[in-house]
Amino acid sequence: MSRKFRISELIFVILIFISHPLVAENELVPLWKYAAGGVLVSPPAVSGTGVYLYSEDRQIHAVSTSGDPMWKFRMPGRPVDSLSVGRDGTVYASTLEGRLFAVNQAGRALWRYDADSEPAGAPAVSADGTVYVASKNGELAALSHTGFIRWKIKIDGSITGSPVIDAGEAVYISDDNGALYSFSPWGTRRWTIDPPAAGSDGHWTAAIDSHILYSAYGSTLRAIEGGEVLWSINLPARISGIVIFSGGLFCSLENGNAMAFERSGVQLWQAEGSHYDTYPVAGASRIFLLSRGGLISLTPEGQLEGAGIVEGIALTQPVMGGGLLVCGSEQWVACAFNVADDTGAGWSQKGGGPDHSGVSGRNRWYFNEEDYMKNMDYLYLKQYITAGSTDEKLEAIEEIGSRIAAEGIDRGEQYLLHLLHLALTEGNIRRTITADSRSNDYPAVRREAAKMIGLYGNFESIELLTAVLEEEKHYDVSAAIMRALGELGTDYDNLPLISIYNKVIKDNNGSAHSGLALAAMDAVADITEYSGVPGSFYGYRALMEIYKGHYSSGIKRKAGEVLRSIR
Amino acid sequence: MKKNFILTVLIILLLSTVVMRIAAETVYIDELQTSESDSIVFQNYSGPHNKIDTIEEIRGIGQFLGRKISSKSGEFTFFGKYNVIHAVDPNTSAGLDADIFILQEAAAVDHIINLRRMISGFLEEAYNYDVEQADLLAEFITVYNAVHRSDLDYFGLKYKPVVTKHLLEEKVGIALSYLEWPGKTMLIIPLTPQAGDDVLSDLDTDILSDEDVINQLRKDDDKGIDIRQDLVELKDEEVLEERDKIEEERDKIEGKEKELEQKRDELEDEVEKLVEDKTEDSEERIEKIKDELKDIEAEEEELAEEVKKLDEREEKVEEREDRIVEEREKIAEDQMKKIEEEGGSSDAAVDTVEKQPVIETVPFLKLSADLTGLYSGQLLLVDVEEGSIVKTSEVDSIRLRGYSYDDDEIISVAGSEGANRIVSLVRIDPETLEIIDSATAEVFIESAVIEKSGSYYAVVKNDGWKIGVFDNDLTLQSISDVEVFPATDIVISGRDIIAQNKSGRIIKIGEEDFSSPAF
Repeated sequence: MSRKFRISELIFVILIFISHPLVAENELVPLWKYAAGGVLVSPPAVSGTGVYLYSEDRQIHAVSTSGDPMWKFRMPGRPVDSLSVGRDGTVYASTLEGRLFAVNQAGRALWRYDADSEPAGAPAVSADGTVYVASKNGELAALSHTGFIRWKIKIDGSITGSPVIDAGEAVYISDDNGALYSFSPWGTRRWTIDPPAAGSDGHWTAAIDSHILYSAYGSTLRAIEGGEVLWSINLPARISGIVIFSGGLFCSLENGNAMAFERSGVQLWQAEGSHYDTYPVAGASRIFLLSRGGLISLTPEGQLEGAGIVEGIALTQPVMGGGLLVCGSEQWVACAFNVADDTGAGWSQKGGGPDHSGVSGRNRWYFNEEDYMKNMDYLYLKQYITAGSTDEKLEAIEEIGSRIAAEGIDRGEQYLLHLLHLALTEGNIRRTITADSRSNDYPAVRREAAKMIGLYGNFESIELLTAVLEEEKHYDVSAAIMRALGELGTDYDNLPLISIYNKVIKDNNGSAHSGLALAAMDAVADITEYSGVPGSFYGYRALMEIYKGHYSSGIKRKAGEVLRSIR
Repeated sequence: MKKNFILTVLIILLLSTVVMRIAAETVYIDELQTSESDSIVFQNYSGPHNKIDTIEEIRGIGQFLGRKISSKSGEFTFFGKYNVIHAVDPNTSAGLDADIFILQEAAAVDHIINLRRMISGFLEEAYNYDVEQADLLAEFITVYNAVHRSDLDYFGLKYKPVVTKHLLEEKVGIALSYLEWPGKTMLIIPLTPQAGDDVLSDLDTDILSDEDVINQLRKDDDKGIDIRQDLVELKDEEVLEERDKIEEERDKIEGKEKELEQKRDELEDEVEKLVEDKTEDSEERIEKIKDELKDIEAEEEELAEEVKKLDEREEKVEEREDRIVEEREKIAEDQMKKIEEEGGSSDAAVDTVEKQPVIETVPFLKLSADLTGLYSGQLLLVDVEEGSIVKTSEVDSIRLRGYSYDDDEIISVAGSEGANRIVSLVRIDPETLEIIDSATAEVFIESAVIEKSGSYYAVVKNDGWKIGVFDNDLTLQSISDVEVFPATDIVISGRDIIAQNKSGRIIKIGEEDFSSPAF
């Protein structure tokens, strides 16, 4: 079938080896190979938790970073290019029929979202865990990391390509004519830019550098910031891929050439050849290209530095992360190369998107107060939260919950979540409870806010909940916070389990409150089940503290049961 | 008398010396049949031909037969050498239909590659497969038929009587040796019920890749990974096509259901109005409407039945998809084993890049007796240090006596008789063990071969057996005027040749007794 084609391409790669003096000295040798049961339908996804492959065999394969198989998840439908991994190791993939699955680190499905049509590309996952899913019928949906639909919008026309997120969590999509749309994290449209004049061919790819979007549609490359086109260039051929590297912007073209530009749009260099035709990725001070003969690395100055043979003809876009470069081939084999990542950037997804490294703290809101200053709902509710009586605050929280639960178009709940966060922290966190502060203490409000946040929160909510838990004096509020952490499930950076463990230690040295212990045990069990990673150190230690601590025998018995279940 | 006796003794001594020198053991061709642990290896003819068909001509034979295939049963022939029986019976549901591709006695094909090309050409024309798909299926057809050779019980269980009535135990399937193909081969090509309907799944690819076939392929060094992958991808395409068809038919049914629903609504509205009118005509009309509603109900029931059948089809498609996933997993397992064997790590990969040490080898002729009882040899390259076989030639028809070599070339008599095959002189590359040149003149199967001053002397057929002189290009330049005993020794003495004549007498043939060959 393709045997003759493979032989000719391998000969081509061998010729590269023979002809270039640098190649033999800089040979990229696979660190490991993995047979994926089919051609990869999606570029691999790489994170600290592993390497994920979505194959024609309709399965998601999870492989450790050292190449050992971990698990497989069977997708109930035809596979399509749609694989992403979240910061907490949750894997997202869709079928051709539009069913998106979230799969935890143990290979179990957490939830499912049914879009009305085929996905336009892989979902984009933001730092706060929001999953943006674009469908070919023009629908863009924002889902929480627990699968709750935050909002949905629909544009006229079809969406092409995956959504892209910038440093401010704004979301960008393109329609199949090349028109660009930008949305805030809460679903309001920020701006729209018309298609490029050069005509349409339905192929869009993009790269983000902080708040600047570099958009490639057909042969047109544009830089856009804040809805303004900074510059626009027509290249000699259709752009197959773009990536940001240390020197600027790199484009591979479908005529086999490559071009590099400064961020200002000034051309740096151009490389002509028949092999720079597709799929670039940047990292480790180099640009890697997957061409039909194999893997090529270029210096930022455009010099050919090295090459490696992929098992057969390379097909899928390479992805870099954690010092690995992974790509798939026609022979159903995924290859991983060790490319030491000296940028310290950690993992990233295809195309060199924004690197979401580190926790920014609870003050990082996805919220532009200016936009909503005029929004009376927000002001009205905020008034109740901040200045109302206990009953009024509780009513506001209930109102917020109802609004969030109702699926609304163009009515993002992000600001509502902000209000819940506000309710959790409003005027009551003090180390010393004084006569004044007692009058400002609303434990009931915090308790109800925590419950609501447990249902609708995001990664930022986790940070806030753990911070509040540390200071919280009321047992029922602490218990509610712990349960909320359990509801939110994910345990990235170990934050929830560490905070639960610390709380349990404090409590054990104090009054050994049974309600608190029960909440802690339930939360540890929920978090362990959600992540799929058994035997977390802090979860285990928290349960042991309860087991050995000054609690009733019933509580200790339950601690033993939960301990056994999480092993 | 005494001279004859001495000559006979010398010949016996010579023969025994050669045998002792070059053959440690004889292996009968029968033993080359697969044992439990051996993979299927077809034994092909690799020697000179008197006529070579082009690839297009070979494919053309299959295409010719493919063009004859229609929806009805029938038997078609290509000049009495290759036949196809299109055995279909739409009235019987149990079992499979099939095409039976028969190699008659006069069939000249002697290499599995050419046979596959022929079958591929047939599939192209008969069922509109593209060349790559047809090539792939042809390969599986030959392996499938080799695996189930002579297994009438198997074919009896799987195929309809319209197929099995033609089958003979000693012929069904295909033997591994090309010598047993003419007149003893019936290749079964399993067909699906949709064969001929312009679909991708004309051939039953699940049957062609049954467990026995896959297990055989897995015995190969490469575990048959490439072709198994290709077939799985073809099966995926078949499944996709079937799903699209089901979807199409569902849409049609849905359309009809909507039409019927609309019609029903209209009629019911009409009934309501007529009931209010309460005239004689309206009562008559109401009765007619009731009949029409009954017809609609009947049509709806029919549609419901069709939906049920589509559901069953979809269920089968899902089952097939599950099986395809399992096949993919097995292939992936085998691939991983291969990767591990090859050392999939960077250290191992670097090791393989290092230069291999030079091995000194020497050609060796391994003998076996063919079905006619004559010895023929297969060239090997043997490591002089280890004594292990480094390379094996595909050429397995080297004749015992005519074999000489030096560093640059091996000249030998090779080939066998039959169809397009001849026995002649061949030049073999001592490194690759491939035939790089062959003469077209027929040489006696046990002829001696002598080289002198760049010319080669052997016994050739040219209006009788005569001493032939070949130049360095293996072109026959001259032949002796006298006929010789075909197995004669050839001794060159000065400008003369000493040989045995037809009656067995030792004669001297002078340079002047040679003339141009008659063609």
